[in-house]
Amino acid sequence: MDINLKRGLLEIGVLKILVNGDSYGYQIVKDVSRYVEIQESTLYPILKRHEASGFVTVYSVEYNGRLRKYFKITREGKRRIVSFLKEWEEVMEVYDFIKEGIYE
Amino acid sequence: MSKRRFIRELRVSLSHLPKSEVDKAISYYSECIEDMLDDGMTEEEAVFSLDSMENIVTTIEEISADNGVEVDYKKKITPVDSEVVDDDKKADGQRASNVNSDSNDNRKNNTNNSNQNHQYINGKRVDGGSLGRDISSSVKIAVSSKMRAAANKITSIATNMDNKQKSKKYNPYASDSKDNYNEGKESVSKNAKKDASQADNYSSYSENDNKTMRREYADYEYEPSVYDKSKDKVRDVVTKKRSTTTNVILGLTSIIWAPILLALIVAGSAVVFGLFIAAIAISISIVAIIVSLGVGGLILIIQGVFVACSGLVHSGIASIGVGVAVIGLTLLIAKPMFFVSGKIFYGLLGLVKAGYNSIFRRRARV
Repeated sequence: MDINLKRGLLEIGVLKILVNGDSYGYQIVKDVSRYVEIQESTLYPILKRHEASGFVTVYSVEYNGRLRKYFKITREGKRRIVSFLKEWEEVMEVYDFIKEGIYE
Repeated sequence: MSKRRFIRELRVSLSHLPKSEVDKAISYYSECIEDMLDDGMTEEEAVFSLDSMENIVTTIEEISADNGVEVDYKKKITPVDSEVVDDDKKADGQRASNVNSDSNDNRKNNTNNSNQNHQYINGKRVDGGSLGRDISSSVKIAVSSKMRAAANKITSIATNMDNKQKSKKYNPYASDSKDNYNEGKESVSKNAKKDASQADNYSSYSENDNKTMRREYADYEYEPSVYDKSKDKVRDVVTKKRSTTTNVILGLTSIIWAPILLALIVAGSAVVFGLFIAAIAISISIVAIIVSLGVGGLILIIQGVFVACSGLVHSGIASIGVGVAVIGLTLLIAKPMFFVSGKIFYGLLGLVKAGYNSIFRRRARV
């Protein structure tokens, strides 16, 4: 998969995971990895960007005597997913156009 | 690689970034490793599952730059030695299991492997003797970026091992074939100590490297400051400007203390001189009393006392007069003199600074 396409999908994928409930770094990696391969080092900048863009907020919860950072999707984050899905419909139109007649 | 070592290495590798950014990254990776440990992984597995240190650092640099954080690449440090220390540690672990298993095969293996260096790269053991072949084969099949990175790593470690063999200072498998078992045991403990000392060296390496960096870039980063070798720190050449209050106090002190001191000296001299005259007069009077107790003697005594008193009064008046005169004169002259001398001093200082700056700026351009 093209690296830029993968990056874009990962960004939305992370937001989608958070729609299902607040989560933390390692869990997000595990959840997203079911669909797209991702590493902790890849997730870190995505989370930072989402935080800077206001798509997610961060809070800490004590767990096993240490603090674990949880990420929560914001309304802006959800809007970003909707916006992506709309854009993707346009992409699919182009996809159908390209695909038409190719496999015949 | 242990979590502690990974975190330390990451901290060193990110030393060119602001502390807040470093702390955030450390916190993130530390939490990830802890979660992996809770998930049943060992520390080594957890660290191993992460991306390479180089990629992690590059990613953090990129995101920091994207967020408008100033990244000072001049201060960047790549702790290459630490990888070797860790790989040695993995090799030590393997050797420890060999020693504990106590089988003839293992002894034979150890015998065959004696005087060879072993490294673990991405979990794969690499023998010092066949390292050349490994390198070339690795290079041949290095079609993906990850594999190319591994090949570079092998080359780096091979160079390091070669240096170690040349220096004869550190050979993890230097045990002799005959008593390999016992010596293997000793070697393990010795190497554990060496690992510890090497870790210490690594810390000092970072410090020294930082110092070198500071020296190297002192002219650029701290212009117009200069690196003071004797004090091992950068100091400002430009004198710090004094506050107005300090200037007023210093000016007043300069104006007042000099005339007072002069007046005191002159007055003191006058008093001493007057006392001297009085002493002479008293002496004359005493002599007169002794020589003649008549009217002449009495007159001489009175004259002596008069002269003595006169001497005291004159000395007092003289000292006061001189003191006042000196104070007045100094007040008239000292202030302009103070300012003139100040101007001359700052003029000279300006010349020195200009000369100094021209020399050092020229050096920086070169």
